Amino acid sequence: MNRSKNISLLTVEDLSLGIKSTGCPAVCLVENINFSLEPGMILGIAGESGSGKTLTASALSGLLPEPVRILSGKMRFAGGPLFPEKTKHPGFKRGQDILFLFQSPSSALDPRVRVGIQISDALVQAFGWDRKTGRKQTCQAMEQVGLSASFFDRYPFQLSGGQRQRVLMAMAFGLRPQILIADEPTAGQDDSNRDHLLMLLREYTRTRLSSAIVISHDLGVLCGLADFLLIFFQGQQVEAGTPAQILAGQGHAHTRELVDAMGFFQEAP
Amino acid sequence: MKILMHLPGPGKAAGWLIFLVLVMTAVAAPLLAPRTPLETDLDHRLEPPSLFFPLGTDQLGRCVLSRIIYGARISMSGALTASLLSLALGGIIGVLAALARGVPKFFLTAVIDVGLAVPGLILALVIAGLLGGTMASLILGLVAANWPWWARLIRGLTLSAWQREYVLAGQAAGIKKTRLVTHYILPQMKAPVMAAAALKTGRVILAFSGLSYLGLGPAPPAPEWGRMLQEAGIYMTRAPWLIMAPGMAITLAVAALNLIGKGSKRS
Repeated sequence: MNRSKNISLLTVEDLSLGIKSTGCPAVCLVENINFSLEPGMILGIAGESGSGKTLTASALSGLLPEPVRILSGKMRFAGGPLFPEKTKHPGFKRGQDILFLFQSPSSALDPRVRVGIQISDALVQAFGWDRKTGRKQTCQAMEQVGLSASFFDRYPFQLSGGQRQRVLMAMAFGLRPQILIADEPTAGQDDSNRDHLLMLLREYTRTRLSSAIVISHDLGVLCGLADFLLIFFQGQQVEAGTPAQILAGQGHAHTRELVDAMGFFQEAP
Repeated sequence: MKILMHLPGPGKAAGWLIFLVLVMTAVAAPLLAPRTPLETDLDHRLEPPSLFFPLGTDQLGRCVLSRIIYGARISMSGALTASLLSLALGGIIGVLAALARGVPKFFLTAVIDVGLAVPGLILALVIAGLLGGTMASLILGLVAANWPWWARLIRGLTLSAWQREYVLAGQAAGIKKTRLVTHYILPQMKAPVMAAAALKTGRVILAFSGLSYLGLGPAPPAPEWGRMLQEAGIYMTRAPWLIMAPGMAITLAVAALNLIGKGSKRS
């Protein structure tokens, strides 16, 4: 893969994740992940469900589920180490440097808290604003994703699935993270919502020169969006390349399957 | 229709009604009581209920109704204070035990487990007994007996809430832990904690009266329900109304809180 000489925004080297307990051999769930991310670049991670896409993204935001830990490998963010278990990079701010948007927008929002408050809580924490400024900035971010300011005081159950997904995107527009990780942003969305979201994602990286990692099982979505693609299969990174290289289909058997599945539903771009 | 949906069930409503009446009685005691609770009248000892003494008089000629009304102040406020203090203490320790890592987590969990292993009533008995019979020592004893139970409940609720995806998402977005606890996790505990608090307070009223019955509560002339019950025991055959009155008062208070608790559980 094309690794530039100057420092990348994020590099991941030989990352392995698994479960380790005393007296037992470690169980590896994700093995030998390698990639680097440049500013302004969109990285796509594709693979079947259970292939370790989400686990890798959790590791990047330091939110691995309880028994899973980093077995080996290095993650570096802007030149500094990123979550080698306990010692955090001193200047690192979760949410502002790397923002992880969870897979399902219905469970990623607290049902008892107004959606605007959830966004402004994150903004206030990140930028040290007072609540009033937080509210103003939140409304601005919500307008950027096509939600009027009146949505600020609504509860998640009053919104449709597409609107909730846009609320999450508004959080990204407000926080302006250097790296945005979106886990299955298009899952469960209808076509027009999906296109709108992808447009927002593209706009986000273009206008702010920030990077994004987009995780999806849908290779079609990623080919139209990402600059670089990783294919995951059963916890391993089986292929890496530009969309054109991946679509040329010289690689792994699983890539072939994904490409074929894509052609089954829609025409390849 | 919207208002109807928020109405409590009949049991819960009855519970709240009785409870509020008792609280109002305690607050407005000087207005409601026909006499002062300590005023003795040796010419009218052990009199049965009459127009003049609606619930009769005790062995010193004191008006039983007035003593019950003033007693609501001591028994209800004592039990409520003990209950709220144990909820607060147990809540803080429970949340900390759920969120701590490493040695503090081990220590806090061990403290809760040890607290749960000690029989509560006996601990309350020892503390109230050693510190001498005052209201404060009795409350302290009850708090010591009850906080581990609350700590375990709140710890469990916090742990399960911390696993929720929206709490993880909040962490991923960089929201501070303290704000996540106060604004995202604690609000969801309202319903289960309310139900448990009502049931638990009922038990604390029983324990408060029970310990006071044993002579560990406020000192004698004070009109405390459990203490009145104990003093009335000697005259049970001559003046049965003496045990009926405090017995009914304790029963009403406990029943009201149980109705609230059971009703909250169901909704």
